[in-house]
Amino acid sequence: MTSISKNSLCSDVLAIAVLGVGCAAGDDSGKASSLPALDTALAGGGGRLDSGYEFSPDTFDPGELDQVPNNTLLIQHVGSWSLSPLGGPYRAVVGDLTVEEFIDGDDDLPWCWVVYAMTGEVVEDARAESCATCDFVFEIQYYVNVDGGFRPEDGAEPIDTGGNYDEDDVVETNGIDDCMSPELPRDGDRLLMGWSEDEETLYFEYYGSGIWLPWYSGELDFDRLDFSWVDEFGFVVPPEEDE
Amino acid sequence: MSARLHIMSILFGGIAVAGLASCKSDEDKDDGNREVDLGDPAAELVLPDYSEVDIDAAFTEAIETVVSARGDRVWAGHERALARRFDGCPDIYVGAPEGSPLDDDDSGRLNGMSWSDFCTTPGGLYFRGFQHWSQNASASGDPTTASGRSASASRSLTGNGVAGDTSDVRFEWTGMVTDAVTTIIAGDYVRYTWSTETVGTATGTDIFEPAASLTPGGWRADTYVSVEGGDVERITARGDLYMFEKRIADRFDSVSMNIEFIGELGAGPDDCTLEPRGWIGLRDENAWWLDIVFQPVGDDDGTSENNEDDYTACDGCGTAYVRGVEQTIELGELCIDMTGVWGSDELAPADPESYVFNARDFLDD
Repeated sequence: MTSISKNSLCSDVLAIAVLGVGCAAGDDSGKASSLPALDTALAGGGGRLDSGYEFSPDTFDPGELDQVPNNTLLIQHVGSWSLSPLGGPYRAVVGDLTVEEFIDGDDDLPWCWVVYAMTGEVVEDARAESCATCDFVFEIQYYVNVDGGFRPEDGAEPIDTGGNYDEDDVVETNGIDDCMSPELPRDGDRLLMGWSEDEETLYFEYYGSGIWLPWYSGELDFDRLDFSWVDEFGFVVPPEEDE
Repeated sequence: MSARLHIMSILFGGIAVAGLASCKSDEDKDDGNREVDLGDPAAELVLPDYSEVDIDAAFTEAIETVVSARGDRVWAGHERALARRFDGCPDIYVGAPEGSPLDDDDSGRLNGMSWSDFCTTPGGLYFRGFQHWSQNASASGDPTTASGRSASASRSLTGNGVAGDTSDVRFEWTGMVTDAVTTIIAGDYVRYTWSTETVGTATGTDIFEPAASLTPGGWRADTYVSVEGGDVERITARGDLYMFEKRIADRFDSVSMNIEFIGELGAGPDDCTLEPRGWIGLRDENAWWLDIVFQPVGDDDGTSENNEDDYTACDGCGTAYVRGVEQTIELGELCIDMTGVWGSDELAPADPESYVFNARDFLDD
């Protein structure tokens, strides 16, 4: 009778089984694992899921810190009206307005320089009535007489009867396009302006909107109205353009 | 033949067959003849229960909320914050301030006004960051005449700044908002159009008065809204908005939409006034979206070619989607009534006077 070693047979079967597994190794027949449960650690208070936004209290204490502008721009508007007829009631006006802007208070070298001539006639319709506190309203036409260019220094004398100055007595300034004053009139603009004696304020009607804004503080002395606005702002000096 | 050899031959024979069968199975895998065990069935998508939600009111409120994220609200809050300004805090600039993105281009640097600072007023109100604004307004004509009076205004506010005190944030705006309005009045005839584009984050009690605001706590928005009123009724609203505190119907924290409404007033014969064009989505705090899709917004998206398509019918009904799945049973086709949107105070144009911001006013204080 032939006997078979039990151990020998098992080793053969095991080897075959390994071969079988090797043959089947390329077949992905395993079960797909189920998705993990939601991580409850992500949940916010009250069991609600995180909605993605949290306010964090601002605990920074600035102390005495107060940032200041690196540069300032002094804006200066000075003008006057001559009202007629003398003694009123006024029907017409002629005047002028000089706009100058100075960087860091350097009044020897204006950033921009514009001089206007102004003429105006009285307005007595509903547009004037919309200024509740105005004593009289004029429609003012602005003419740009000086738009930057060479500005004579204070105290400089002309070298001829044509109003020309020595080149050492003038500084070059920018014109209206570089002025930073808000709502600066353009040549030929016609704007409504009204005077309130009680408030000593010259009002500006904002481009036909019917909204009157206090524009200049002034003083009416007989038939002459002097007005001005001076204020200082922060300013970023534009980089110099390459020649 | 020994018994061992016999057994081995049987085994090898069987194995060979089995091996061939196994390898044949691999070859046939692409033929789809073999069943593949995909594991346990995927978990069923959980759909939220909206039975407690007043759908009509929720979607109407969603429209109002997006329309309320408009430039004049942010602008008014900014004015309130600056009204408490103390001399030099914050510093006012002509043009753009240092260190702002606007400083890099001439249009920003040379136009408008701004504040920039890191300061605290003697009253304890702090200003940090910057805001830059520009505006214009003009009008002409007489409203009592046939040609009437027309007025237009526009403005923008761009910044990254906050004002507040130890108790609260009063004003915070990070982003850019622009808005514009045009009005024509001639006797009894009135037509107005306003639009606003809002991209940013707004918070603070100067913008969102806690007791009266539609969205107390503020929002983060990327929206465009256009409204025509007077002799016509039209609303266009698109974009996304997330509300920090407010919840529509006590559960929805975000709104997303691309929608166009046409009201009865001034509607043309081909206009559909029963339902809007486009879609509106509401997101709850689990980030699950409830969307309603109405008629297509454009004529070139393909759906309008088939008049049998439910999406193209002007029937006052939209199709509901929950978590992106079209609903066919419970919500299914939603015939919602959003006519309440036409009575909303949020549709009124901003006061043209609010477009005029005179820097001289507060500098003289």
